[in-house]
Amino acid sequence: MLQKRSNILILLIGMALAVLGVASCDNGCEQMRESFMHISLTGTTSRSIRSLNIDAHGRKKGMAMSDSTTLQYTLPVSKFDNIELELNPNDSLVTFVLRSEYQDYGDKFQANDTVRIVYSVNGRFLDMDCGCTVDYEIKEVSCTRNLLEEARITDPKIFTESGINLEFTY
Amino acid sequence: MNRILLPLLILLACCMQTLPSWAQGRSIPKGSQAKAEEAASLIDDELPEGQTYRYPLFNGLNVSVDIFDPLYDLFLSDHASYEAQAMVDLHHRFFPLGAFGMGYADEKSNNGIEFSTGQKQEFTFKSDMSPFLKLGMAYNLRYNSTKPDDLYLIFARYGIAQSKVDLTNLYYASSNWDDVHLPDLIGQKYTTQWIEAGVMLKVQLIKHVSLGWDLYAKIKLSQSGTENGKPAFVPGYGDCSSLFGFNFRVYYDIF
Repeated sequence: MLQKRSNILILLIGMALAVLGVASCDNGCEQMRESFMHISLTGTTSRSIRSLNIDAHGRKKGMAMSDSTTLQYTLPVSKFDNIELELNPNDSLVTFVLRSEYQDYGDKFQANDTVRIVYSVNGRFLDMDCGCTVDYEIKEVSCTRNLLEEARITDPKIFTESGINLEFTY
Repeated sequence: MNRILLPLLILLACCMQTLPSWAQGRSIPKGSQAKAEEAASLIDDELPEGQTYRYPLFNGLNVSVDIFDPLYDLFLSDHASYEAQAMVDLHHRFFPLGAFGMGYADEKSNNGIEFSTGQKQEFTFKSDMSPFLKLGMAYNLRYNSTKPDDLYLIFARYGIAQSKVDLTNLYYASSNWDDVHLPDLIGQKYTTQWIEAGVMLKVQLIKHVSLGWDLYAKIKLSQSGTENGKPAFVPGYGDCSSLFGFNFRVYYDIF
Protein backbone atom coordinates (compact mmCIF):
# COMPACT_ATOMS: atom_id res chain seq x y z
CA MET A 1 0.00 0.00 0.00
CA LEU A 2 2.86 2.32 0.91
CA GLN A 3 4.58 1.42 -2.34
CA LYS A 4 1.44 2.27 -4.31
CA ARG A 5 1.08 5.63 -2.61
CA SER A 6 4.66 6.58 -3.29
CA ASN A 7 4.26 5.57 -6.95
CA ILE A 8 1.20 7.78 -7.27
CA LEU A 9 3.05 10.60 -5.55
CA ILE A 10 5.94 10.36 -8.02
CA LEU A 11 3.41 10.32 -10.84
CA LEU A 12 1.85 13.56 -9.63
CA ILE A 13 5.18 15.24 -8.84
CA GLY A 14 6.45 14.44 -12.33
CA MET A 15 3.40 15.94 -13.94
CA ALA A 16 3.41 19.04 -11.75
CA LEU A 17 7.09 19.71 -12.50
CA ALA A 18 6.50 19.24 -16.22
CA VAL A 19 3.65 21.76 -16.19
CA LEU A 20 5.79 24.26 -14.29
CA GLY A 21 8.66 23.66 -16.68
CA VAL A 22 6.76 24.30 -19.88
CA ALA A 23 4.97 27.32 -18.43
CA SER A 24 8.26 29.06 -17.68
CA CYS A 25 10.01 28.50 -21.02
CA ASP A 26 10.49 31.76 -22.91
CA ASN A 27 14.08 32.55 -23.78
CA GLY A 28 13.78 35.29 -26.41
CA CYS A 29 15.94 35.49 -29.49
CA GLU A 30 19.39 34.01 -28.90
CA GLN A 31 20.64 33.84 -32.46
CA MET A 32 22.29 36.31 -34.78
CA ARG A 33 19.71 37.71 -37.17
CA GLU A 34 21.78 39.87 -39.46
CA SER A 35 24.11 38.46 -42.09
CA PHE A 36 27.22 40.50 -42.80
CA MET A 37 29.70 40.26 -45.60
CA HIS A 38 33.22 39.84 -44.21
CA ILE A 39 36.13 41.47 -45.99
CA SER A 40 39.85 41.20 -45.56
CA LEU A 41 42.28 43.91 -46.64
CA THR A 42 45.68 42.95 -47.94
CA GLY A 43 48.41 45.36 -48.93
CA THR A 44 51.02 44.75 -51.57
CA THR A 45 52.37 48.30 -52.01
CA SER A 46 54.48 50.62 -49.89
CA ARG A 47 51.42 52.75 -49.15
CA SER A 48 50.36 52.93 -45.56
CA ILE A 49 46.63 53.34 -44.97
CA ARG A 50 45.80 55.55 -42.00
CA SER A 51 42.00 55.42 -42.07
CA LEU A 52 39.20 53.95 -44.07
CA ASN A 53 35.59 55.04 -44.20
CA ILE A 54 33.06 52.92 -46.01
CA ASP A 55 29.59 54.02 -47.00
CA ALA A 56 26.91 52.71 -49.31
CA HIS A 57 24.40 54.36 -51.62
CA GLY A 58 20.84 54.16 -50.39
CA ARG A 59 21.42 53.09 -46.82
CA LYS A 60 19.37 54.45 -43.92
CA LYS A 61 19.98 58.09 -43.06
CA GLY A 62 21.75 58.56 -39.78
CA MET A 63 22.97 55.00 -39.62
CA ALA A 64 26.64 54.18 -39.88
CA MET A 65 27.74 51.42 -42.19
CA SER A 66 31.35 51.54 -41.08
CA ASP A 67 31.94 54.70 -39.12
CA SER A 68 35.44 55.99 -39.82
CA THR A 69 37.00 52.61 -39.36
CA THR A 70 40.51 53.52 -38.33
CA LEU A 71 42.99 50.91 -39.32
CA GLN A 72 45.78 50.83 -36.81
CA TYR A 73 48.34 49.09 -38.93
CA THR A 74 50.78 49.74 -41.70
CA LEU A 75 50.54 47.94 -44.96
CA PRO A 76 52.00 45.76 -46.34
CA VAL A 77 53.18 43.89 -43.27
CA SER A 78 49.78 43.48 -41.69
CA LYS A 79 46.49 42.16 -42.84
CA PHE A 80 43.11 43.43 -41.71
CA ASP A 81 40.42 40.75 -41.57
CA ASN A 82 37.56 42.28 -39.73
CA ILE A 83 35.50 44.56 -41.93
CA GLU A 84 31.80 43.73 -41.82
CA LEU A 85 29.40 45.22 -44.34
CA GLU A 86 25.76 44.48 -44.86
CA LEU A 87 24.37 44.06 -48.35
CA ASN A 88 21.04 45.65 -49.16
CA PRO A 89 18.33 42.99 -48.64
CA ASN A 90 15.88 45.04 -50.75
CA ASP A 91 18.00 44.88 -53.88
CA SER A 92 20.42 42.67 -55.76
CA LEU A 93 23.08 45.30 -56.37
CA VAL A 94 24.95 47.61 -54.02
CA THR A 95 27.76 50.10 -54.45
CA PHE A 96 30.11 50.81 -51.57
CA VAL A 97 32.28 53.89 -51.48
CA LEU A 98 35.66 53.48 -49.78
CA ARG A 99 37.32 56.71 -48.65
CA SER A 100 40.91 56.04 -47.68
CA GLU A 101 43.57 58.23 -46.18
CA TYR A 102 47.00 56.89 -46.84
CA GLN A 103 50.63 57.80 -46.52
CA ASP A 104 53.15 57.35 -49.28
CA TYR A 105 56.80 58.15 -48.54
CA GLY A 106 55.77 60.52 -45.74
CA ASP A 107 53.11 62.45 -47.69
CA LYS A 108 49.40 62.09 -46.89
CA PHE A 109 46.87 61.42 -49.64
CA GLN A 110 43.18 60.70 -49.94
CA ALA A 111 41.60 58.33 -52.45
CA ASN A 112 38.07 57.17 -53.17
CA ASP A 113 37.16 53.84 -54.67
CA THR A 114 33.81 52.26 -55.38
CA VAL A 115 33.08 48.55 -55.18
CA ARG A 116 30.02 47.26 -57.01
CA ILE A 117 28.55 43.95 -55.89
CA VAL A 118 25.86 41.92 -57.62
CA TYR A 119 24.20 39.23 -55.49
CA SER A 120 21.05 37.21 -54.82
CA VAL A 121 18.96 37.37 -51.65
CA ASN A 122 17.28 34.40 -49.97
CA GLY A 123 15.11 34.54 -46.82
CA ARG A 124 15.78 31.86 -44.19
CA PHE A 125 13.65 31.02 -41.16
CA LEU A 126 15.50 30.86 -37.81
CA ASP A 127 12.93 30.22 -35.08
CA MET A 128 9.80 31.59 -33.44
CA ASP A 129 11.74 34.04 -31.29
CA CYS A 130 14.10 35.40 -33.94
CA GLY A 131 12.01 35.23 -37.10
CA CYS A 132 13.98 35.36 -40.33
CA THR A 133 17.41 36.19 -41.55
CA VAL A 134 18.57 36.59 -45.12
CA ASP A 135 21.39 34.78 -46.86
CA TYR A 136 23.20 36.28 -49.82
CA GLU A 137 25.20 34.83 -52.65
CA ILE A 138 27.68 37.10 -54.39
CA LYS A 139 27.48 36.76 -58.16
CA GLU A 140 29.89 39.43 -59.32
CA VAL A 141 32.20 42.08 -57.92
CA SER A 142 33.99 44.95 -59.64
CA CYS A 143 35.86 48.03 -58.42
CA THR A 144 37.59 51.23 -59.46
CA ARG A 145 41.37 51.23 -59.19
CA ASN A 146 42.40 54.50 -57.59
CA LEU A 147 43.94 52.94 -54.51
CA LEU A 148 42.45 49.48 -54.79
CA GLU A 149 44.16 46.98 -57.02
CA GLU A 150 41.68 44.17 -56.84
CA ALA A 151 38.42 43.04 -55.20
CA ARG A 152 38.18 39.25 -55.26
CA ILE A 153 35.47 36.82 -54.13
CA THR A 154 36.82 34.23 -51.70
CA ASP A 155 33.50 32.74 -50.55
CA PRO A 156 30.32 33.82 -52.34
CA LYS A 157 27.91 32.57 -49.70
CA ILE A 158 27.03 35.03 -46.95
CA PHE A 159 25.08 33.84 -43.94
CA THR A 160 25.05 34.63 -40.23
CA GLU A 161 28.22 32.71 -39.47
CA SER A 162 30.15 32.88 -42.70
CA GLY A 163 33.90 33.49 -43.02
CA ILE A 164 35.77 35.91 -45.30
CA ASN A 165 33.72 36.60 -48.44
CA LEU A 166 35.77 39.26 -50.24
CA GLU A 167 39.41 40.20 -50.36
CA PHE A 168 40.47 43.75 -51.19
CA THR A 169 44.04 44.26 -52.27
CA TYR A 170 45.80 47.64 -52.16
CA MET B 1 18.01 26.64 -17.03
CA ASN B 2 14.56 25.26 -16.30
CA ARG B 3 14.85 22.97 -19.26
CA ILE B 4 17.85 21.28 -17.70
CA LEU B 5 16.81 21.42 -14.04
CA LEU B 6 13.33 20.01 -14.50
CA PRO B 7 14.29 16.73 -16.18
CA LEU B 8 17.07 16.22 -13.66
CA LEU B 9 14.65 16.61 -10.75
CA ILE B 10 12.22 14.14 -12.24
CA LEU B 11 14.98 11.68 -13.03
CA LEU B 12 16.30 11.98 -9.48
CA ALA B 13 12.87 11.32 -7.98
CA CYS B 14 12.48 8.29 -10.20
CA CYS B 15 15.88 6.87 -9.32
CA MET B 16 15.27 7.34 -5.58
CA GLN B 17 12.18 5.21 -5.93
CA THR B 18 13.73 2.57 -8.13
CA LEU B 19 17.24 1.96 -6.84
CA PRO B 20 16.41 0.25 -3.54
CA SER B 21 14.30 -2.27 -5.37
CA TRP B 22 16.99 -3.42 -7.72
CA ALA B 23 18.18 -6.01 -5.28
CA GLN B 24 14.84 -7.77 -5.78
CA GLY B 25 14.70 -9.13 -2.22
CA ARG B 26 17.96 -11.06 -2.34
CA SER B 27 19.45 -9.36 0.70
CA ILE B 28 18.09 -10.00 4.17
CA PRO B 29 17.58 -6.82 6.14
CA LYS B 30 18.58 -6.94 9.77
CA GLY B 31 16.79 -5.27 12.63
CA SER B 32 13.11 -5.23 13.38
CA GLN B 33 10.76 -8.18 13.30
CA ALA B 34 8.81 -6.55 10.45
CA LYS B 35 11.89 -6.34 8.31
CA ALA B 36 12.74 -9.95 8.93
CA GLU B 37 9.22 -11.01 7.95
CA GLU B 38 9.39 -8.96 4.83
CA ALA B 39 12.70 -10.55 3.91
CA ALA B 40 11.30 -14.01 4.54
CA SER B 41 8.32 -13.34 2.30
CA LEU B 42 10.64 -12.20 -0.47
CA ILE B 43 12.71 -15.35 -0.18
CA ASP B 44 9.48 -17.36 -0.56
CA ASP B 45 8.90 -15.45 -3.78
CA GLU B 46 12.25 -16.36 -5.22
CA LEU B 47 12.15 -18.30 -8.46
CA PRO B 48 12.92 -22.02 -8.59
CA GLU B 49 16.44 -22.77 -9.66
CA GLY B 50 16.89 -22.68 -13.42
CA GLN B 51 13.89 -20.41 -14.01
CA THR B 52 14.89 -17.00 -15.30
CA TYR B 53 11.54 -15.33 -15.61
CA ARG B 54 8.54 -15.17 -13.32
CA TYR B 55 6.22 -14.15 -16.18
CA PRO B 56 5.53 -15.84 -19.53
CA LEU B 57 6.92 -14.69 -22.85
CA PHE B 58 3.71 -12.99 -23.89
CA ASN B 59 2.59 -11.32 -20.70
CA GLY B 60 0.21 -8.70 -22.04
CA LEU B 61 -0.50 -5.81 -24.34
CA ASN B 62 -1.38 -2.27 -23.44
CA VAL B 63 -2.36 0.80 -25.38
CA SER B 64 -2.01 4.37 -24.25
CA VAL B 65 -2.72 7.90 -25.36
CA ASP B 66 -0.77 10.98 -24.46
CA ILE B 67 -2.96 13.64 -22.87
CA PHE B 68 -0.22 16.13 -21.97
CA ASP B 69 0.23 17.65 -25.41
CA PRO B 70 -3.51 18.06 -26.14
CA LEU B 71 -4.02 19.70 -22.73
CA TYR B 72 -0.99 21.91 -23.24
CA ASP B 73 -2.35 22.83 -26.65
CA LEU B 74 -5.71 23.71 -25.13
CA PHE B 75 -4.34 26.19 -22.61
CA LEU B 76 -0.83 27.30 -23.48
CA SER B 77 0.30 26.63 -27.02
CA ASP B 78 -0.73 26.60 -30.65
CA HIS B 79 0.81 23.29 -31.56
CA ALA B 80 0.33 19.69 -30.49
CA SER B 81 1.10 16.09 -31.26
CA TYR B 82 -1.68 13.59 -30.68
CA GLU B 83 -0.12 10.22 -30.00
CA ALA B 84 -1.31 6.66 -29.36
CA GLN B 85 1.10 3.93 -28.36
CA ALA B 86 0.94 0.15 -28.12
CA MET B 87 3.35 -1.81 -25.96
CA VAL B 88 3.80 -5.60 -25.75
CA ASP B 89 4.93 -7.19 -22.47
CA LEU B 90 7.53 -9.93 -23.02
CA HIS B 91 8.43 -11.74 -19.78
CA HIS B 92 7.53 -8.46 -18.06
CA ARG B 93 11.07 -7.45 -18.96
CA PHE B 94 11.13 -6.31 -22.57
CA PHE B 95 8.45 -4.05 -23.99
CA PRO B 96 8.62 -3.51 -27.76
CA LEU B 97 6.55 -0.44 -28.51
CA GLY B 98 5.17 1.47 -31.44
CA ALA B 99 3.50 4.85 -31.48
CA PHE B 100 1.59 6.60 -34.21
CA GLY B 101 0.22 10.09 -34.18
CA MET B 102 -0.57 13.31 -35.93
CA GLY B 103 0.72 16.78 -35.13
CA TYR B 104 0.05 20.33 -36.24
CA ALA B 105 1.14 23.89 -35.51
CA ASP B 106 -0.50 27.22 -36.15
CA GLU B 107 1.58 29.76 -34.30
CA LYS B 108 2.28 33.44 -34.39
CA SER B 109 5.76 34.73 -33.61
CA ASN B 110 6.63 35.11 -29.92
CA ASN B 111 6.01 38.73 -28.92
CA GLY B 112 6.49 39.90 -32.49
CA ILE B 113 9.75 40.89 -34.13
CA GLU B 114 10.75 44.44 -33.29
CA PHE B 115 12.14 46.64 -36.03
CA SER B 116 14.41 49.64 -35.92
CA THR B 117 11.33 51.84 -36.37
CA GLY B 118 9.90 50.43 -33.12
CA GLN B 119 7.19 48.65 -35.09
CA LYS B 120 6.43 45.02 -34.31
CA GLN B 121 5.51 42.45 -36.91
CA GLU B 122 4.05 39.02 -36.33
CA PHE B 123 4.75 36.22 -38.74
CA THR B 124 2.87 32.93 -38.88
CA PHE B 125 4.26 29.40 -38.75
CA LYS B 126 1.68 26.91 -39.93
CA SER B 127 2.27 23.16 -40.17
CA ASP B 128 -0.55 21.05 -41.57
CA MET B 129 -1.75 18.05 -39.57
CA SER B 130 0.97 15.51 -40.43
CA PRO B 131 1.78 11.97 -39.35
CA PHE B 132 4.64 10.60 -37.32
CA LEU B 133 5.76 7.15 -36.23
CA LYS B 134 7.87 5.99 -33.33
CA LEU B 135 9.32 2.52 -32.78
CA GLY B 136 11.37 1.37 -29.86
CA MET B 137 11.89 -0.78 -26.82
CA ALA B 138 11.37 -0.32 -23.11
CA TYR B 139 13.12 -2.31 -20.41
CA ASN B 140 11.67 -3.09 -16.99
CA LEU B 141 14.21 -2.73 -14.21
CA ARG B 142 12.14 -4.93 -11.83
CA TYR B 143 11.03 -7.63 -14.22
CA ASN B 144 10.72 -10.42 -11.65
CA SER B 145 8.93 -8.32 -9.06
CA THR B 146 5.94 -9.96 -7.36
CA LYS B 147 4.04 -6.70 -7.78
CA PRO B 148 3.80 -6.33 -11.53
CA ASP B 149 1.12 -3.65 -11.75
CA ASP B 150 3.39 -0.63 -11.56
CA LEU B 151 6.27 -0.25 -13.97
CA TYR B 152 9.53 1.64 -13.96
CA LEU B 153 11.00 1.45 -17.42
CA ILE B 154 13.88 2.87 -19.33
CA PHE B 155 13.29 3.19 -23.02
CA ALA B 156 14.61 4.28 -26.38
CA ARG B 157 12.54 5.19 -29.43
CA TYR B 158 13.29 6.05 -33.02
CA GLY B 159 10.95 8.60 -34.60
CA ILE B 160 10.22 9.76 -38.12
CA ALA B 161 7.86 12.50 -39.26
CA GLN B 162 6.92 14.28 -42.41
CA SER B 163 5.57 17.78 -42.32
CA LYS B 164 4.60 20.61 -44.62
CA VAL B 165 5.05 24.15 -43.39
CA ASP B 166 3.81 27.56 -44.56
CA LEU B 167 5.61 30.64 -43.27
CA THR B 168 3.83 33.88 -43.98
CA ASN B 169 4.19 37.59 -43.25
CA LEU B 170 7.97 37.29 -42.94
CA TYR B 171 10.05 40.36 -42.23
CA TYR B 172 13.73 41.02 -41.94
CA ALA B 173 14.94 43.90 -39.81
CA SER B 174 18.21 45.46 -40.91
CA SER B 175 20.27 47.96 -38.97
CA ASN B 176 21.63 49.54 -42.15
CA TRP B 177 18.88 49.25 -44.72
CA ASP B 178 15.13 49.55 -44.86
CA ASP B 179 13.31 46.58 -43.34
CA VAL B 180 12.27 43.95 -45.85
CA HIS B 181 9.01 42.12 -46.30
CA LEU B 182 10.29 38.74 -47.49
CA PRO B 183 8.37 36.44 -49.83
CA ASP B 184 6.21 33.86 -48.03
CA LEU B 185 7.73 30.39 -47.76
CA ILE B 186 4.84 28.16 -48.76
CA GLY B 187 4.81 24.37 -48.81
CA GLN B 188 8.20 23.75 -47.21
CA LYS B 189 8.48 19.97 -46.89
CA TYR B 190 10.55 18.37 -44.17
CA THR B 191 11.37 14.79 -43.26
CA THR B 192 12.80 14.50 -39.77
CA GLN B 193 14.32 11.51 -38.01
CA TRP B 194 15.27 11.48 -34.36
CA ILE B 195 15.86 9.28 -31.33
CA GLU B 196 14.51 9.61 -27.82
CA ALA B 197 15.71 7.94 -24.63
CA GLY B 198 14.47 8.29 -21.09
CA VAL B 199 12.43 6.89 -18.24
CA MET B 200 8.82 5.81 -18.16
CA LEU B 201 6.53 5.34 -15.16
CA LYS B 202 3.23 3.45 -15.24
CA VAL B 203 1.02 3.24 -12.15
CA GLN B 204 -2.16 1.17 -12.09
CA LEU B 205 -5.16 3.03 -10.70
CA ILE B 206 -7.93 0.50 -11.25
CA LYS B 207 -8.04 -2.82 -13.04
CA HIS B 208 -6.85 -2.38 -16.66
CA VAL B 209 -6.42 1.39 -16.29
CA SER B 210 -3.12 3.06 -15.45
CA LEU B 211 -1.57 6.49 -15.58
CA GLY B 212 2.03 7.25 -16.33
CA TRP B 213 4.56 9.60 -17.76
CA ASP B 214 7.58 9.47 -20.00
CA LEU B 215 10.46 11.85 -19.62
CA TYR B 216 13.09 11.72 -22.30
CA ALA B 217 15.97 13.45 -24.02
CA LYS B 218 15.69 13.74 -27.79
CA ILE B 219 18.16 14.37 -30.53
CA LYS B 220 17.66 14.82 -34.26
CA LEU B 221 19.43 12.38 -36.55
CA SER B 222 18.60 14.07 -39.83
CA GLN B 223 16.28 16.59 -41.41
CA SER B 224 15.77 17.14 -45.11
CA GLY B 225 14.37 20.19 -46.88
CA THR B 226 16.04 22.82 -44.71
CA GLU B 227 17.34 25.11 -47.47
CA ASN B 228 15.11 27.93 -46.22
CA GLY B 229 15.56 27.17 -42.54
CA LYS B 230 14.59 24.50 -40.05
CA PRO B 231 11.01 24.15 -38.82
CA ALA B 232 10.12 25.39 -35.33
CA PHE B 233 7.91 22.37 -34.73
CA VAL B 234 7.96 18.76 -35.92
CA PRO B 235 4.99 16.43 -35.31
CA GLY B 236 5.94 13.87 -32.67
CA TYR B 237 9.23 15.61 -31.92
CA GLY B 238 7.62 18.80 -30.66
CA ASP B 239 9.22 22.16 -30.16
CA CYS B 240 12.57 22.06 -31.95
CA SER B 241 14.28 24.39 -29.49
CA SER B 242 13.85 21.90 -26.64
CA LEU B 243 16.10 18.92 -25.94
CA PHE B 244 13.63 17.20 -23.62
CA GLY B 245 10.16 15.77 -24.04
CA PHE B 246 7.36 14.78 -21.70
CA ASN B 247 4.23 12.68 -22.16
CA PHE B 248 1.48 12.04 -19.66
CA ARG B 249 -0.32 8.84 -20.60
CA VAL B 250 -3.54 7.05 -19.88
CA TYR B 251 -2.95 3.31 -20.31
CA TYR B 252 -5.42 0.53 -20.91
CA ASP B 253 -4.22 -3.06 -20.42
CA ILE B 254 -5.90 -5.16 -23.10
CA PHE B 255 -4.47 -8.48 -21.91
